[in-house]
Amino acid sequence: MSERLARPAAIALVGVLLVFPLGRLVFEALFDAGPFDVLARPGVRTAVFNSIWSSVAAATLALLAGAALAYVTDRLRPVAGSALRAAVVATLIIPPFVSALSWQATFAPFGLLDDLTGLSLGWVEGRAGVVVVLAVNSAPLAFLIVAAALRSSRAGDLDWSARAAGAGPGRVLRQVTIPLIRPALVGGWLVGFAAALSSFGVPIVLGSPAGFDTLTTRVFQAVAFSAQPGAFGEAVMLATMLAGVALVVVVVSDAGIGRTTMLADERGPIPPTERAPAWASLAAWTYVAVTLVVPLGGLVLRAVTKAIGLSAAPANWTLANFSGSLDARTWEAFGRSALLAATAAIIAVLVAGLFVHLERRGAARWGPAALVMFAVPGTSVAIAMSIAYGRWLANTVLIIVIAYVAKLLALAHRPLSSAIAGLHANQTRAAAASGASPGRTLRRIVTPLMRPALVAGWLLVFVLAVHELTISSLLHGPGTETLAVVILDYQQIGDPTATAALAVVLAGVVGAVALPLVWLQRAWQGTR
Amino acid sequence: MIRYGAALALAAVVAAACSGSGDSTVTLYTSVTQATVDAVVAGYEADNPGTDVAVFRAPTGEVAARLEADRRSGAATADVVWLSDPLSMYQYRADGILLAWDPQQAAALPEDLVSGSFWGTRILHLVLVVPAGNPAAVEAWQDLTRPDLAAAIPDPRFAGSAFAALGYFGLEPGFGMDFFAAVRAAGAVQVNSPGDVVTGVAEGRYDAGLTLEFSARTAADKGSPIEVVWPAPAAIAVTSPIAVLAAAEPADAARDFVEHVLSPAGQAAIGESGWTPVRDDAPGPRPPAGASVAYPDWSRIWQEQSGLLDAYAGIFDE
Repeated sequence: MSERLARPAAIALVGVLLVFPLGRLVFEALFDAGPFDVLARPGVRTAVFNSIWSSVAAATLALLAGAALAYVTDRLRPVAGSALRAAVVATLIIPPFVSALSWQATFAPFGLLDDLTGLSLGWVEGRAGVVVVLAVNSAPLAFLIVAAALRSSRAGDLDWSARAAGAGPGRVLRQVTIPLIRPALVGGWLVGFAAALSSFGVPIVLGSPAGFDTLTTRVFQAVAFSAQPGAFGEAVMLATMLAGVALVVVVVSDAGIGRTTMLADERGPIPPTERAPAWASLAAWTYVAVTLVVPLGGLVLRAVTKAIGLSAAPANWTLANFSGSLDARTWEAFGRSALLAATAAIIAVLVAGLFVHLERRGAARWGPAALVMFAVPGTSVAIAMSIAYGRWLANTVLIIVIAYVAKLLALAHRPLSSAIAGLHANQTRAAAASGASPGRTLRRIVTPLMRPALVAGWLLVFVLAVHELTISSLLHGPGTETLAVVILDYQQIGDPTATAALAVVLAGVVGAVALPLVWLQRAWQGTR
Repeated sequence: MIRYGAALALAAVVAAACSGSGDSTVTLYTSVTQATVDAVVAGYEADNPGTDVAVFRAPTGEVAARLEADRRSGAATADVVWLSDPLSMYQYRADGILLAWDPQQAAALPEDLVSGSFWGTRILHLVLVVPAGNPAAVEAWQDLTRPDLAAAIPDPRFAGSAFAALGYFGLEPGFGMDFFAAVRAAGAVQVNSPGDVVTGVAEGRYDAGLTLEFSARTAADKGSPIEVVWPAPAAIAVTSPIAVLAAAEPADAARDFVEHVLSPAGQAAIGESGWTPVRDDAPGPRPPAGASVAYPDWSRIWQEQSGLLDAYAGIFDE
């Protein structure tokens, strides 16, 4: 793309993906429901308060866990370090619509753990459970963002210089590492915050028994009554408020980060040589066991058990849940969901690349603005898209792709913007000085160096788009049914073993796509 | 990579543009379970060559939200809506968006399922689910207020069927909102959906719960250690209504589809997919002998919905 077109193209994309749909939403909200009427409804203020504090708490816990794990895997040498890194990221393959159910089925009273050992965690059902499970869902995102920053060579080199100069590990962490990766820490927190703010599955499953309402559960309550006058407007108004909360938080913290100034040279960081202390390895592996192995194991056991409520002993095992739910139509929906997610991920990476390119030239920082849409729950994104583009695009796959890109763009942007910050300006200058055109520099210098970040961004968008149920359940049409339509049918009937079977297959498919890419990414990083 | 992405996007657009249609197409928006819709649509299409039924299936709230979003964006919308509970239909009729007409088949329906613009197609029963063998001897709705039982009810703000229970109890003499207050005081918890009630009872988390008979029966048939109790004084019946929109095009095909759903053949397909048909002459699961069934007064529930929901929230929110 020629330089002159880059900026108008970016403006047009921001308009299509973010400004117009959100603008339509705000317009409908103001036109329909007086904003203050909605705030005056009983419980709405409590829901606003609950949403904000639980998202802040979850994002903070997620950042602490994600950053600690990133530090352990990248700066120390834990037992089976690369497996540990893969396992932390692998928690992403558990679809969020079953993660809360898995936690409940595994750790809550009368759950799997209770059956096996007599131990259970009563707090899982309630506000504490909501926060912890939200944090666990967001932790791999924070991990990826912080690990990418730690791996940038500048951070690595300065750490080792400080160590060589005699500073202890604690002092290096406080005075060198943390200041250097501060933008990534803030970025990781923000992504976690937006993910928690827009989450519906976790508060509804774990918060509802304790009467714990959030803005997203209120949105869904309003949507459930959207035929009634005022309810649809209320849903729209609440979604607008969520976007507003996200906007304020993003603007404030973005101003706090300032521009990233990290530069890097061509060498990769020096690999760590010391073994991690035993407690660090133990803590990291315990985390993986609690957040990945046990819930995934519980999910698989549920999927192979004949019926809900039977003990998960081999005598009750069956494959009927798989054969019963995986008919031709389900596979077709699987394929369509995967194709839509893959397409959306490619577009999101390209759009994010354009933003990052312009941001590097000092243009407005649109990328962080994408977080606003990420903080809006899927149903509201779908309603916004439907009102904005339904007239022309209803029932097409295109409207689903646009919604996926808009909602998940922030996740493609984040790795790219970290990676570009680590790219040495001299590399592109050298190319330009040697007579390479900007396009050629992009193809031959920038893109190869950015490949790991491009893959990371693509994977994040792909995985979250495949898992997203609410967007396509509202936007699909005849002949464009996605996996969400199938899964929601089983949930409506109330067949958790079939739902678990579908979730296991989904996790398998996502894993099968992700594994080779993660391997490829490591190979590229090795050759850098 | 750019070229690949562009090609994929283009292919997607072309595929969408080419998705075929028959001579005439009826667009159906529905929250009815997929297997039931599939069976009924297949029967209709076999009887009416040249007419396609294009189905948008989603949970109740999403169907209503989609209709509302279509209206606001000016997008093409449904010709026929087929929902799980009547609440939205009362509003649509008041909004004047439903076609008023007289299906021939409506003559064969029970009197209270005939309204002039929407018709009950199948009956969902709200019942109690308990562990197999009914160890706590649960037999009536009032047992949900027993402090010695851990009970669960689905949240009426998410599930249409649960809202039916709120409307029925809230307006029924002898129950009222005091019933919910007593249920809450006895330690009952609310969960998301009727399916979650069944899961919780099957896993031993709850001793009893209010749920859809279909969900409990499906789980019990698969082998879950639970059973259905048809409670005293009466199980709650929710009719799943169907209607033609006033703007339907082609309207005669849309009306034909509704006639088919209400016909013996359509009703038999509904019965075979596991739901109770509204026609007495169609095969399908029925309440056991001796079980009584009550039909809530939907027009009152519709008028008093926000008061009911606010009173409920006052009881169950922390």
